[in-house]
Parts: sequence; structure tokens; C-alpha cells
Amino acid sequence: MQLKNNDNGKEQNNNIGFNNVNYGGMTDINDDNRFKSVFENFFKQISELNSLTTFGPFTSLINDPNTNIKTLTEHGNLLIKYQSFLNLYLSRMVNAYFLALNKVSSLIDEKKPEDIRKIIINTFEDVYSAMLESSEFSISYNNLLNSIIDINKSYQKFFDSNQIAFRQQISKEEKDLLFYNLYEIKKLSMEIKKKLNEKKDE
Amino acid sequence: MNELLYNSLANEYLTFVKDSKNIDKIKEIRKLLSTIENIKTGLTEYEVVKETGLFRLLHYKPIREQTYKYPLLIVYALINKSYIFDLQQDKSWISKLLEQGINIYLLDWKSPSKSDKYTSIDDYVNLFIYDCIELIKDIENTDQVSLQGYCMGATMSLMYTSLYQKNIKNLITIAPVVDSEKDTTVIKNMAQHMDIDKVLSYYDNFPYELLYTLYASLKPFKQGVNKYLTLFNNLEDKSFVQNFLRIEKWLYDTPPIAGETFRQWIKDIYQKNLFAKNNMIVGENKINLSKIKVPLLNIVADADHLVSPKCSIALNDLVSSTDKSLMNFPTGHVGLIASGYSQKNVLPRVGKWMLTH
Repeated sequence: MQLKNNDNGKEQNNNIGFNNVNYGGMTDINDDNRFKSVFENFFKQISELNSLTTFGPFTSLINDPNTNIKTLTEHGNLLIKYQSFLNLYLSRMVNAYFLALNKVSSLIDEKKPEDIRKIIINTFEDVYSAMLESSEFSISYNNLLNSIIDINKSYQKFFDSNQIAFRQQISKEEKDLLFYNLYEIKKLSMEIKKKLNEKKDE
Repeated sequence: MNELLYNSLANEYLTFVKDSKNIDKIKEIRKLLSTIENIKTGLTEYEVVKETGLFRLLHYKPIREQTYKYPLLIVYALINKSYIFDLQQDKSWISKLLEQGINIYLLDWKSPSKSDKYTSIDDYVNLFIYDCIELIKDIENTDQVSLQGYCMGATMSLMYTSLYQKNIKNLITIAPVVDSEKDTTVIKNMAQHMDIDKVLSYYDNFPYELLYTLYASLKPFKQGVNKYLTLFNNLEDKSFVQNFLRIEKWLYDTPPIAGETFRQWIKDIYQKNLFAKNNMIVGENKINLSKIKVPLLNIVADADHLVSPKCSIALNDLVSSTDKSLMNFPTGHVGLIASGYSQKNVLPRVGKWMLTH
């Protein structure tokens, strides 16, 4: 796994995915091929079963397993990406914590408890504020936020495409279209009112 | 951790837990914070002149004869709630201006619902603020109003003024977000690298949970931790506790921000600085600050950690007003409008400026 900078200076995680995961030499190529061929056969048979219209409702329950496996693989990749961004974020927080602690240790001497408390608060404030004001932290935080959003969207996509119960519900795209139409109607009525007022003023 | 620090912290902890009064105080603080919803704010009497899904226009009941000819409209920010202007009697921005004989209206933004996600800055400026000013002009039978905006509300007031100048007698901006290239705050830093399109591809509006994470990054120890230590030490002072709880309630009373509005805010203001460069498009118009010629009072807090003073001060060089003033005060973003300091030092000068403009 490798972290690289893209054109915008954002840290991006490349080459991550189940295909690149090393299983510690526990599997060899023959095992992989056998495993692959068993699954390919299984999916082939399922696909053939799916084409039998007489199966009725059963078809919709096992609809397109290849798509599901692909979605889950993509989801796994997102989780790996999230973990690496979370590690970076946490390491920045932990580093700041130890840096502040070292600074406090060098400042306290034989001081009164109230003074020590003040030194702790001021030192931690300085160290953490410097971190929070740095562009490295901002990039790291926003990468983490983006990866959480990607995971949530992936869950949404999986449920939207698989569960019969969820299919009964309105999708995000359909909901957005409704909201947009509603917004347009409200805006139009306010604009008509505004134009009428302007005419009245003339 | 060195031995001296370890011993000091261990001693403090042991001394603290040995005294049962300290444990009682902790319990008391937990109880107070859990009932914070019941704390009363906004006690000055008002009438709701208009209410829609996204705003209320409030008119405050005068408490003395009107000394200033023009009605004042205060435009609040889209962050947290407008009752910060009327937190408690002795720290109320509204009350202090009413005492000076000013006729006050307040634009109180309501929390956007999911179906309001497409509401844009264009709507806030060209429909909502516009609508309120037209209504006030009708009610008060006047051609102009005095406009006052706070934080994001000040920025939107500037947009409105640049488009509908004839309606504005004078403009007061309090900690406006103007030139974001001069903003060195944590908020600007976080906004700079935010992929707002991605955030809004999942969330309908910008969620309050993410706004909290931004606030939690602002002075995390001096304010985040220290304020609870101060509360602990002043728990027997009823007035202090009530003040603390009111501010605390306001701090956590955060509505989401309409998706499209926040998208443009982050991209055009924080990331591209289009507002200060006179290149920001709102509706069908480009906002040009140099078009503003009305008398301007720009109020800035020297210790503002939400909007850098330099980011706000830049405004005075961008407008064309010949009558423009800058007042800066040694306080913070909230202290500027809701503090004893503000009552004594800021508001008398604001009232005086209004009466002469």
C-alpha cells in the first residue's frame, strides 16, 4: 500500500484493493484458480437459474450475484482506504499530544498546582492550535471525512440495489428530484410576488 | 511524562477525589448541563411580522420614544440562533439599542429542512432579505432602512446593499466575512481543503455534526476545557452559572445550513475568494462591492477567532462609500455582541453613529 500526493497536494491512497492483499503465502496459484473456477461455476449456474421465468419471485432475491460481489469488493476497498486515512489522522493527534506533554514537562519545574494547570492548558492550546491551523491537518481531516462519506454512499448503493424492502422506498435521486421541483415552485412563486411588487412600485 | 508532572497530576487527582464536595459539584454540573434546554433566552418583547418555512421577521416593542427616523433591520448569520442578540437583559444587543430609541426588526433564520437543500445565497439575498425590507418599508411608510448584519449575515447584507442600494440609509457590518485570503482561522483552514461537492452528494444540508467538529477545533483547551474549570470554580455564583448556561445553550443550538448555500459559501468565498474580488455571482448578478456608496460602519473584534480581523477590515478598502468608519474592539467574535463589555463600549458608539447617519 502506498500513499502518494495528487496534483492538488491531497494524500491519495493508490493500489489498494483485495486483489493486492497478500495473504501471507497461505494460498498458492492453484488454490486461487480452483477457488475462482468454483465460484465462476456457481455464478454461471445461478445466472442460468435466473433466466428461468418459472422461478418467479426467487429470481428477484438472488438477482445478479456478480454485481453484489463487485459492490462488496469495492466496499472492502473503501474500508481499507478509510483505515489508512484514520491512521494518518490519529497519528497527527497522538503526535501533538506527546509534543505538548514533552513541552509541559520541560516547563513545570517546582511550580504550584494552579500554575501547572495553566501551563498545561496554554501549552496544549498552542500545540493543538498550530496543528489545526496547518494545511497538512486540513488535508488529512478532509480526506478522512471524504472516505467516511464514500463508505456511507457505498452502503446506500448496496441497500438501494438489493433489498426488496428498500426498493419500495424512494431513492436519493428520486427524492432530490422531488425536492428540486418543490424548491423551484417555491422560488417561482416568490419571484412572481417580487415582480408584482416592483410593478406596483413603478 | 516526567516524574514531576506525573506526581503533580496524581496529587491533584487524589486531593480532588478526597473531598466529597468536589464530587457533589461534578454531579451538580452534570445536572445543570442536562437541563440546559430549559434555560430562558430572548426575553425582550417582540411581534412576529412574517413567518415562512425559512425565516421569521421579528419587530421589537419600543421601550421609549423613537429617536432615530429609520427602522433598523438586523440580519443574523446562518450559524446558531439569533437569540444571541438578546441572550439576557444585561447583555442584550437588542435592549441596548431599544433604550437608545431605535426601532428594531430582526431577521431570524429558521432551520432548513431536507427539502430546503436547494435554497441558495441568491434566495437568501434576493428573496428573503429583499422581502423583509420591502415589508418594513411598507409598514413604516419609509423608502429606506438602516441595515445591520452579523458575521455571515453581514456578508449577505453587503450583497443586498450592492444590489438594492436605494433601499439602504446606512450599513453596519459586524465581523463580516469579506477577504478570505486574509483569514487565518481554523475555519478557513478546514474550508480550504473541503470537497464540498462530495459532502453534499451524501448529505442534503451541511449537517450540524460537522459544524460542531469545526467549533471544537477553535481554541480547544483555552475555551473547550478551561470554561468547565471556570464553571466548577464559580458554581456557587448563581449569576455566573446562568450566564454560562445561556451561552452554552446557544453554542450547541446549531441548525444545519442549506446545501446549495453552503456549497457556494465554501467555494466562492473561502476557496476562490470571489466575493472580495468582485466576481461572485448571486442569482443573475455579479456582486461588486465597489458599487456600495452608502455610509458604512464596519465593526471588528481584535480577538476574533472565527473571522480574522484582517478579513473583515479589508471591506473598508473595497467599498466606494466616502463616509466609512472602522471600529475595532479588544474582544472576541461573540463578546462583540453579547457581553458586558459590548454593552459598555460597543453599543453606545453604534447607537451614536446611527443617530448621526
